[in-house]
Amino acid sequence: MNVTELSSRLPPAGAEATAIQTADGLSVSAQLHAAAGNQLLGLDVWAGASAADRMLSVHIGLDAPAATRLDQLVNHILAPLG
Amino acid sequence: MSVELQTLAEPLLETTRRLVAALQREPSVELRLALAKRVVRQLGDEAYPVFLKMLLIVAESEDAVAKQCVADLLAAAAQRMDLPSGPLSGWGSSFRSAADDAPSPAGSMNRRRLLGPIEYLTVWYCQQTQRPMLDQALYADAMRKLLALFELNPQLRAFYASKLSAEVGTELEGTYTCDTRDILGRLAQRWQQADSTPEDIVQAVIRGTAPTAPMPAGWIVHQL
Repeated sequence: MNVTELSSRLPPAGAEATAIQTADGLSVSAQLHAAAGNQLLGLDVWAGASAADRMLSVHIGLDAPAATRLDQLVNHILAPLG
Repeated sequence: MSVELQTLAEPLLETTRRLVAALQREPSVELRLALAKRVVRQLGDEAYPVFLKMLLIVAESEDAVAKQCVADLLAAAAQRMDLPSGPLSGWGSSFRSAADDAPSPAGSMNRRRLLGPIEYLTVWYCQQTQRPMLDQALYADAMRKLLALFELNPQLRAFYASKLSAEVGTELEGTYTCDTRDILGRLAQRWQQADSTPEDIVQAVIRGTAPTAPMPAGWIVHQL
């Protein structure tokens, strides 16, 4: 599969355009910009996860139709960060 | 602004999963590299640490396939001298100002240099840039994890160590301080020794920067 084929399985353009809000109402993007790099590097994203849970490949998030371009794929990848 | 950082954990994990999934499904190394570089570019100049965090998430995972995929991608990038890079200001342009992001006819005072993951972390740790300096514990921890990830592809280790070694001898004045050159030089030298482990390398780097006298609690000391 190439990027074009991969992109064809992405959600439609704009489907993920809405910035994701965190519990305190700030967008993830705003929080990322507010966090100093030191804080970000020190963040334990795997807190509480067992070794078996520390997997990345099991997730398949590319199963919807539409989209044909690399930039749409990048938008899809970065969408969780708002 | 007070930031509840833990709320960023899941979005960062999910983004990393999506990047890994996309890389694993793309057979062309050229397109994988283009994808990684586009992600870095779209994050923006000031968000390169987010990309570093994604590399660290991969490194901290137990996913051998994902780790190998990322190490192989970075090996291809290193071979092309085209590692995904982020900008930090040179040591002659330490402090961020209103003019920092503006085009500068004066040149070097606002000069920013694109740096690969290891150089970026080391400059961030050693030099005053537009970013608050990285403390030693975080630098050591991040470097140890990145080196362990990079070990998974012997070519990446060879290319990257050679690049660092060559760069510290030839890099233009103003990019690296003497201290940064010293650290990168020692890092490259130890990394080129076949039997060295990430821990050996980090210890060699950190020992060379240890303060000679006890410091008050809470102080972060850098050789400037």
